[in-house]
Amino acid sequence: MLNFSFASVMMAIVTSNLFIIVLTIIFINQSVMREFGFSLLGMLCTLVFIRMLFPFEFAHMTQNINLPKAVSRGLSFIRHPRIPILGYSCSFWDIFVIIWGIGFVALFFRYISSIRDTYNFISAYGVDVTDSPGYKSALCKTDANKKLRDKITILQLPLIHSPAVFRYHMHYYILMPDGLSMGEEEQEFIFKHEVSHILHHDITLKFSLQLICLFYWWNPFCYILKKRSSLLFELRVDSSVILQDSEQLKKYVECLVKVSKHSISGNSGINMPSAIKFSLKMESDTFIRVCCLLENKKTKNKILARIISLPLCIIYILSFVFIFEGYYIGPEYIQDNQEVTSENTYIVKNKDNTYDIYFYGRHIDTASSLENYPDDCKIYLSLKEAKKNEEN
Amino acid sequence: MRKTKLFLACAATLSIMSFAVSASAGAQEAYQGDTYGTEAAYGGNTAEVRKANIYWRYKFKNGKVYKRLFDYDKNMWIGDWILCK
Repeated sequence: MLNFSFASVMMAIVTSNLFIIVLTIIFINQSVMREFGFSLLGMLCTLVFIRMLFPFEFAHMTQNINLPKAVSRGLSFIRHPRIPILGYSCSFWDIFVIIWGIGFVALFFRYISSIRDTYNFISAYGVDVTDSPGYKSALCKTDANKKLRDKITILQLPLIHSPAVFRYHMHYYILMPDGLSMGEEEQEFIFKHEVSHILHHDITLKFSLQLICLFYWWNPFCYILKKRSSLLFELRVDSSVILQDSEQLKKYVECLVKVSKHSISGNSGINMPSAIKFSLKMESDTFIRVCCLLENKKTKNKILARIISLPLCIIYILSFVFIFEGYYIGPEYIQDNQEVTSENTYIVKNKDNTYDIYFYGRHIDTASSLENYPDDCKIYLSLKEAKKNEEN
Repeated sequence: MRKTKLFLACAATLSIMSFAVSASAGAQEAYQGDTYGTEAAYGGNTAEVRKANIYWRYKFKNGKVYKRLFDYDKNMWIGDWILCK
């Protein structure tokens, strides 16, 4: 049995954002990010996606815990309807949700239209050079099999300053800037690099991360995470393209520096947020990539990876087990009335499936269901049994 | 690669299932209106909308007993005082 409530949705939001913050903090450490950042990022995207689509609690497994009074009071303040808008009384939370929803829809459509605009741009101005001898042989030297090669189109384009890979309707486009002259070996490196992005499903992962960041657009950590992830994709692909051959490594670094120089010195070209670019716009990112390549550290610290991922998995499971919710009543509401608790109330079940409510031992009400009565109130099957137990 | 595909397939199945459950729960909430916490009696749904922390409060006035729902989550009354039978 699944339950769905404000508190369970809140737990899903808090858990997802906690994951984003923790991963962003982890990614600040360069070496940690390089060693197992990709696995953590993949895990985070999957868990956050499932948690976003699964904002439930399990009726028999989940424990509802009331938040401390001060926190409950704050929570009730933002949830209490107090602002009149168009004849409705809205709470600060309602307004936040409306702004959140509008922001998400607007950013989502902007992102989708940017994908379409990129496709329209490359269709209009791209020159198909897939079958030109130089590019064709360079593409054949990559890890792409025949089936994948058939799905790749190489386009030469103006107004872009760095090679990039772009996907549209399951077809891949490797975009080459027309102002950048490259040797045969450099072309080979670039194609290996871009094909490696395709084989590692980087475009899908980038899209998933983009969706998460669009959904939680109000979380500033999302922007840092997205930026760090772009660098992570490049670092991982750089290390997969280059073998141990130091001569090849040197040439790859030279190619990277050459493309980065071209990219950084170029005027503002077309913005393609959905494409993965060979060279990032920041000089510091190129510097980090070069340093990492020259270090060429391949070993992975699996124990550390498990130490980091274990608490995240525990938090994830606990977010289903414990649901925190507010419980607060302002002093203005308690003047002439009393709360029903397990200490002052017991219930007797009648034969017609109704319930007699006894408040301080006095029968005050007969209810058709026990909804809105505390779960821990004692229920007896007869008044005799109730009196006997209550007297004790 | 096979492991990745299997993992993605499991994640996608779970996501679709949960989306279906959340959609049915949302529909149930809309169907029930102000009545919360009632199990879905149609289509074998197992998702329930639980309205958290809403309890009755009682008051005694002129020898009569009245009750009223209070939302402890939002710190507000729900409905009016009802005279108890």
